[in-house]
Amino acid sequence: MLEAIVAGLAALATPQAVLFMLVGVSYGLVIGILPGLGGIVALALLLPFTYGHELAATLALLLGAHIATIWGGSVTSILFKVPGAAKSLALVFDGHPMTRQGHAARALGASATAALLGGLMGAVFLAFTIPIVRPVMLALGPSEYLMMALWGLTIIATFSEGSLLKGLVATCLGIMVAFVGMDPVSGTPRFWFGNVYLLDGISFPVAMIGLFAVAEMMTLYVNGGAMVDRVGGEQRSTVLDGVKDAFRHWGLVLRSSLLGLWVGVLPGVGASVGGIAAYAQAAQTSPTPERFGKGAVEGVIAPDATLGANEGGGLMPTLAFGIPGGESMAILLVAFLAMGIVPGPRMLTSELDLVFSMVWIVVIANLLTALIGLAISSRLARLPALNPNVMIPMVLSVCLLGAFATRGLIEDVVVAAAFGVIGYLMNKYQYSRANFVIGMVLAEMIERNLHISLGLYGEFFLFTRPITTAMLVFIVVTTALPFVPRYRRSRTAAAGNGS
Amino acid sequence: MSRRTQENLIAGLLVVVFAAYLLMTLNLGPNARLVPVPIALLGLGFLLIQIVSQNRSDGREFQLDLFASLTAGAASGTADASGEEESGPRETPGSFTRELQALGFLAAFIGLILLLGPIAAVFLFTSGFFLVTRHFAPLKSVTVAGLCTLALYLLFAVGLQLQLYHGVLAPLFEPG
Repeated sequence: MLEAIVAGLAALATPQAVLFMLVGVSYGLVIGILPGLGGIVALALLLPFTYGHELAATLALLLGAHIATIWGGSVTSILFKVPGAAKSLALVFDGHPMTRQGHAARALGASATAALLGGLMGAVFLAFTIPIVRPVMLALGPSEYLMMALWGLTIIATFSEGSLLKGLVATCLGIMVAFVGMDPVSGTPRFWFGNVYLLDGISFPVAMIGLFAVAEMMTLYVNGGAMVDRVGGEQRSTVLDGVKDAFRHWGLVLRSSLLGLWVGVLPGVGASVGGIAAYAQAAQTSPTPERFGKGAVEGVIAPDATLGANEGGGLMPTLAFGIPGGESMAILLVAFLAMGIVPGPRMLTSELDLVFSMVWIVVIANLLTALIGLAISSRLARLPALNPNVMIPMVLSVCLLGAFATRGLIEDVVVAAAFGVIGYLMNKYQYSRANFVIGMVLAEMIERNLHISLGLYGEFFLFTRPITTAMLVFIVVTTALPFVPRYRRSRTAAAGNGS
Repeated sequence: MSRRTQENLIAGLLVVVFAAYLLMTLNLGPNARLVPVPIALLGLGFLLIQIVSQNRSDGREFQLDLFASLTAGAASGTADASGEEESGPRETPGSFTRELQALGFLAAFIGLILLLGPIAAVFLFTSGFFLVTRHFAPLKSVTVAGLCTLALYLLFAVGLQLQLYHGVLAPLFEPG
């Protein structure tokens, strides 16, 4: 194994591999910061450039770009409340309040460091846990994945701004929007109104650009004034404070990284669930939970560490079984096949040096992203203080062009604008946009796994599969938990009135 | 219009959306409607309870605080998960006019993109916005808009090799 570790690193010590890594990381950062253009777009655009180069160098280009896009998405969540991708959504909760309080540089510093530490832990765990995780992965079937998606949904359903009911309505709306287009199971066209464009469904990045970016610009215009009210763009803390924060909360980083790794290992679950779950566990375990949602740095550290570690975890099923851990991993899988890398158990035996090359790429790309990120954070932190009259047309231009770039369809621009108006109204009347997006993301996973579970295990699969039943109980308990304090308070109030 | 009336209008609109969605699912096969029907029914149910809740005479809504739940009541019940309350649109006397203006700007931008394609639209919209808001002098408005457009062109058309849309008016400008 030691030989494979050294050989994996040696393969990356060529000028081409170093250059490709630098290009990949820089390109990934730019793409990540552009709203709507996440890791999937970055990888898809790189695919034509992957032929005829050294294998390790090509992997460095692809993986480097993919890893850098993750932090890029965090930047827009923290600074502009515009998640670069669904997985960066949890960073909006505390990252943007920090920006509003003049702690953007600290939030970005903490974010970059947490992503680096998470990425490093993810790489290390990827290297050493392959033999352990494999049997666990094989024990889980579609019914368990269905439960995981439902858990993600119930977790987010409680993220309601004031009214739980409005949050639930928003979640249902998000799921309904995701059903527009071709049914993945029966192939039936649904809710398409005879419009061919709608047969392909509503694109997630386009909906998110509208719901968050366009809606935020409308809000900025209506409210007037800069996004961040500060005199001369002065920061109240530094990037270094954020770096220290990440190291100070090493326990949280460790827990979140393990969570990210686990979520990454599970095929098809996706990092969006991981980000939200990391945020929830950070709030749950914090001694000062009242600061969450108001600019707590832990609310930035936990999701970023999870997202960093997630990539290492996502590589495992992709390489070992040829089952992509997410959409980006699916594109990577296509690239692997094009490069002659055939995923399968052989990867963990005779091709181990290649696996370790990828582990090293994850480590180096995370280091480079963090270094570049920390270097530019203080400059990036000044952006939200820009005058709205300058910011609105520029951000709108980037967003609408970004919407067009996702699929090259002009209709996507119109849809982004329509979602912008919907997002503005949802924001105004406090129907959670976060719930809407998570509903949209998880809908397909729920529907697909429900159909497969019914087909494989019959109508009573919830009670015939022990792991599924245990997960169902867990979901019921975690969903009921929020109502307990409310019930206790009403009982106490009733007792007080009675006496 | 009072806030409660506005809330009721929005909720009423959503009831129509959910009901229409439910009706549309009736035309689908059993597999295709397996998940959409219960989701639409659930949504409709939640919405009806919300309407009753927001119109209760005591003004109490069904509130739940995630943070209090996660921390077994350690956190007080005011935390806002996404911080949207403080950064959402503020209702002031002139806000309706501003909302109409914002909608107008957005519609104009989309119209320009459809007519002339995104690159020309970005230049016209950006320079027009600077001029209307009088943020820059006319010459500076055009210069800044031009630089912004050039940067976006280099990024999307050259860097990302995006095949740009040229707008419905493009045939008018084609030679021959």
